[in-house]
Amino acid sequence: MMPQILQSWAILLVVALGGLLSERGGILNIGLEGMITAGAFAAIAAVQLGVAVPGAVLIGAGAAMLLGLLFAQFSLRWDANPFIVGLALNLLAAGTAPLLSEILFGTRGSVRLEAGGIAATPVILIALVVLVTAHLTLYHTVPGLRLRIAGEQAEWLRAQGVGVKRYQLIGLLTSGVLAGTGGALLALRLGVYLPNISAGRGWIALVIVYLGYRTPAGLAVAALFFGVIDAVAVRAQSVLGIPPTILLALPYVLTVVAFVSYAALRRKA
Amino acid sequence: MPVNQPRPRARSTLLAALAALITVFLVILLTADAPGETLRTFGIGPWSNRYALGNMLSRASMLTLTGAGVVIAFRAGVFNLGGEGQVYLAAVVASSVLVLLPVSGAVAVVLAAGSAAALGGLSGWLRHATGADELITSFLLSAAITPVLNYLLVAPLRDQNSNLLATPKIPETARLAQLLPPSTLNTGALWALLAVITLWIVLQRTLFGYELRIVGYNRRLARYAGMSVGTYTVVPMALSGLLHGLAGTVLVMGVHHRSIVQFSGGLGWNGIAVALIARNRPELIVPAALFFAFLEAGSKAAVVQNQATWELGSIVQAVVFLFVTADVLARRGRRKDELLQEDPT
Repeated sequence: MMPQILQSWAILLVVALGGLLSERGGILNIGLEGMITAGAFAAIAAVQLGVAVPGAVLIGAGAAMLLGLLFAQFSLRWDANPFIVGLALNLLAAGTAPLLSEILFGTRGSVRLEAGGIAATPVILIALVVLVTAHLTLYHTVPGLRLRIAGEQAEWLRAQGVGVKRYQLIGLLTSGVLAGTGGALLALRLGVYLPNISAGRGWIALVIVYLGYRTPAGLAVAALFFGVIDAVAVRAQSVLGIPPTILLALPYVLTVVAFVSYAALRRKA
Repeated sequence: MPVNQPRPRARSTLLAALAALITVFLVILLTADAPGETLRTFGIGPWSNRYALGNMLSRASMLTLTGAGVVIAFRAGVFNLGGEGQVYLAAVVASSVLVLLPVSGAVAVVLAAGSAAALGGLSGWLRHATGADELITSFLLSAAITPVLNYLLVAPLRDQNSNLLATPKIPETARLAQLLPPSTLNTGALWALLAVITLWIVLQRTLFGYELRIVGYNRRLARYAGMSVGTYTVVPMALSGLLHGLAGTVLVMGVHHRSIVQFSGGLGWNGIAVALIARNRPELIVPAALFFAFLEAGSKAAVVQNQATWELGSIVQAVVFLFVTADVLARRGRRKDELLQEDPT
């Protein structure tokens, strides 16, 4: 069960770190769910079209980065409401992936890789690398510091003659890259693209950002909780005989319970 | 995580509507074999006969209800992202109550709309009691309840004599009267009109609506003025759920006469699009709902052969969401001034 937990942990952590970077820059990225879908579909499509696995991960990251760019164009340059734009990205990915799938592979259902899924070890390693890099960047580099200030004391940054929106743009783009990487790893590990493959992971990642007190190390701990849930859900199906349809609700139920408990505890403190 | 009340500008909503139309055109042109013919079908299909026209109006009536549900939450400064689940819940409650119990249609309406109101109100109450953002909890609760409802429809509630994953049909006596047979237009359309009129009166002409708008405008101000901010968080979310629930009830009692797996999909998201295009104003909800019903009906008529309507629907919603609060046409010079006066929140 441990490998299962670690691999779910790794994917959730990479996406959540993406959510963290835009959140620290002052923009809540509701579009993570769509970015995961984009990364997952682009990566599988790339492999099907003959790209090697590492290249496919990059293509997945790039596809989701384009969504991040779209987010930035509308919310930063055109002043659109970030919540609505985030929802737009989720709907856009959910609608575009099946359409492209139909054009490229003649199916709007699942796209299966002949070679099967990749191993779990590289997935976990990538998560560790991203975790350490995110921590070092946020706390030990000037751009990381400015990104955090952009989210907390934007006027101060502006007074120093530093463009706030530039850092928010960087936050959104890295957010896309990481969520796309998470989606790509998810699909490549499974060896298949499925409709609704993200299955709420983008929302769970947002909750992880809050449960993890908005620091990379905290996120790593919070993500572990959801990694365990993910793994347990897979087991519960066979051991407890819970109908798989109902089991799909479990991550959402536990996420909402965790989110509300966290909010209640923080209010008391 | 402050929820900014989306305040679309007039020119942005027109641009968003235009962008939605262009998107539909583009997708049709890219996917259809005979684009000219398909575009013509798109444009006139929904108006070509009583059946098509009635179905479009029927769809518009449900979108009016969900759109009104989104508007009342927005006006109170809260965000109901759980519309999809609330519509579905009410639909399943309405159909199962009517199939399993010897109750009248009115009781079913109360139970169905009430359950959706409770689900919406729960998110409002959680926000009030714990501070957990209603935007996140309403979405998660809706996403959690959807698989459970799916399960109920495929297993315990399923009509064993049907190939559909659906409940048995509800009794004739509980069905809403049809207004334009053989189309699905039914008296639920009158509910929708009544709901919008009531919403306008409540928002514009009552103390409740006045205070609700103040809370939506500025919660801190409202608290200083001694208003019960909690009430104006829980009640609008519950009313939002209620209106979504009515849409689900109409879907069962007026349109399908049963619940089918995932059959309410899109009413919730489209309700948000309708509310945004209507700029959160009750009097503009009906035209906005008609516009979306037309887009849906037109694309359905045009691309019925390749079944791309669902994807097209999501893409159109996405385009509307992108443009509707954006200020694409802002003049550069003026924007610089605004940047300097950004509010220090």
